[in-house]
Amino acid sequence: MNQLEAFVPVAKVSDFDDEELISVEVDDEEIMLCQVEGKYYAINNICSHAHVELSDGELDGCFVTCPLHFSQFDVRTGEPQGPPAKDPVETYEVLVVDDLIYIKPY
Amino acid sequence: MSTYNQIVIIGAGIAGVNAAKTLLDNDYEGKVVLIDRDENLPYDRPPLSKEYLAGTMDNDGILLHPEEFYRDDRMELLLGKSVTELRPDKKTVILNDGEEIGWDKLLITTGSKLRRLQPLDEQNFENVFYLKTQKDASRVQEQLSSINHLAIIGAGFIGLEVAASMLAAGKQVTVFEAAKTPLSRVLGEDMGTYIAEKHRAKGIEIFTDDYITQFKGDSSIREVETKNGIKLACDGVLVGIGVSTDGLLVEGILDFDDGIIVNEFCETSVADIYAAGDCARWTYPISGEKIRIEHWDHAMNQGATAALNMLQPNSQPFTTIPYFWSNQHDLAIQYVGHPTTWDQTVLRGSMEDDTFTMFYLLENKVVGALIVNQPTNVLPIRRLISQSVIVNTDQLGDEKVKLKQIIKQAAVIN
Repeated sequence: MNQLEAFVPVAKVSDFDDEELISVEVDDEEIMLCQVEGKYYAINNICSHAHVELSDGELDGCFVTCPLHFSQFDVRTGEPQGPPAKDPVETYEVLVVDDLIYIKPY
Repeated sequence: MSTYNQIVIIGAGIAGVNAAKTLLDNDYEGKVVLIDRDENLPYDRPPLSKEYLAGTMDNDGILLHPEEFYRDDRMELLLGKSVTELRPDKKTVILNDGEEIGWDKLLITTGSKLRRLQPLDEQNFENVFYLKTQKDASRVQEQLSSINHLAIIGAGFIGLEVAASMLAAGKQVTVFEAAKTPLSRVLGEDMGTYIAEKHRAKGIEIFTDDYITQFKGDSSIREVETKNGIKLACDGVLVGIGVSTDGLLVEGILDFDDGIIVNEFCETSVADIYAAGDCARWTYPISGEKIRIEHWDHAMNQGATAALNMLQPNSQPFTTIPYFWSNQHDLAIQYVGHPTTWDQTVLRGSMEDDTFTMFYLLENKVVGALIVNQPTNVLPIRRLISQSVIVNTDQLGDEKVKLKQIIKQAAVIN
């Protein structure tokens, strides 16, 4: 079976040359992509606390900070590290093939 | 020596609740007693003038934490009770029902009190509203259908947020502001004018340099008249003229000067008593001034810092740069810093497109910034302010130069 079945190409590795956070949309799902120490992660781009895009925030290690109320989420698990967010954000499986980054939407 | 094995927190707003959470998260082994006069489960206040008022957020949505959070064995939540007396010698507090509760450390997060319009209060009209508690907001909601034209007293952030929420709910809105320009004390004339004009363009009437001198009606206000002779028929009046803090509870016990004086570790003039949030006055490291901040972000962070210092004395200086946000119509407004004075402003972006950042500078250092629909800028700017470094103002106004690059350079030069 094709390893990439159910995966969708969303960005290029080279897109991260200038940006640390990238937002993409797949089937109306807004998804944030980032890269930490050579590994790529994808989480839902909308903060679980207020309707704001996490890709407008900042990445510090494995944590992305929301630009509105400064909750931090672990990009590996989607879990919030502190208030005001209480709920995690969705995480997505990521695959990189050659220069292309694929994610598996729900 | 620990005697009670207990920390008491007075006030379950965001500062008090987040302090309690921080204590539990950091494995405090004693009991946390959280007391509030409000009978509702602790709730979040920012939505009261926005989503909750507009009816798009319900009673559950507004909770700071679900009820289970308070069922922790290490937590005791006392609602509908107030503290009437502090006894620092015995390390206890007395509640309004006479109960005496002991503490090893005490945290005061009693917040602020609404400024009220005395003459108006005395007339006891049914359709006069204030906005501070969930109950206040529910009252507005309940009477919403009978309000067609709302007069708002005070064009501060709360007044303008309510104006926007009410307009969205299909109401006519007129705002009266005693100052010449709304928000000018915080944002300056230009930005205050910009925001006022945005509201006017949406259809909100704003009268400035004017105030209401007469409220007319029977059980309800039907008309108001202003100093400048404006007569306005209305069927609701909302008062948003700010908050203040009083020292009644701490009088003669703690140093108080428009706020409970705390050191950088959130400790008051009496050992083992801490204060945080709206009720505390602290020294802002950037300016050296003693300030009192009435923002949610500040309360949340100072509450957490106070908790850490209660666990380990003098361990965490509080240095968070003040920050607030406000949503009004299609403007996502963010403000970071706390300048009481500035000598230069620099615009980055386009006011015409409602996408810009206005920097406030003092001696070539950024001391504050108003960010409109540019959320990516807030975190770098907050860092820039806390670094307190001289910046290249030409680059600051040039969107072709990346903000992060400017900050990096500034850090190197300094």
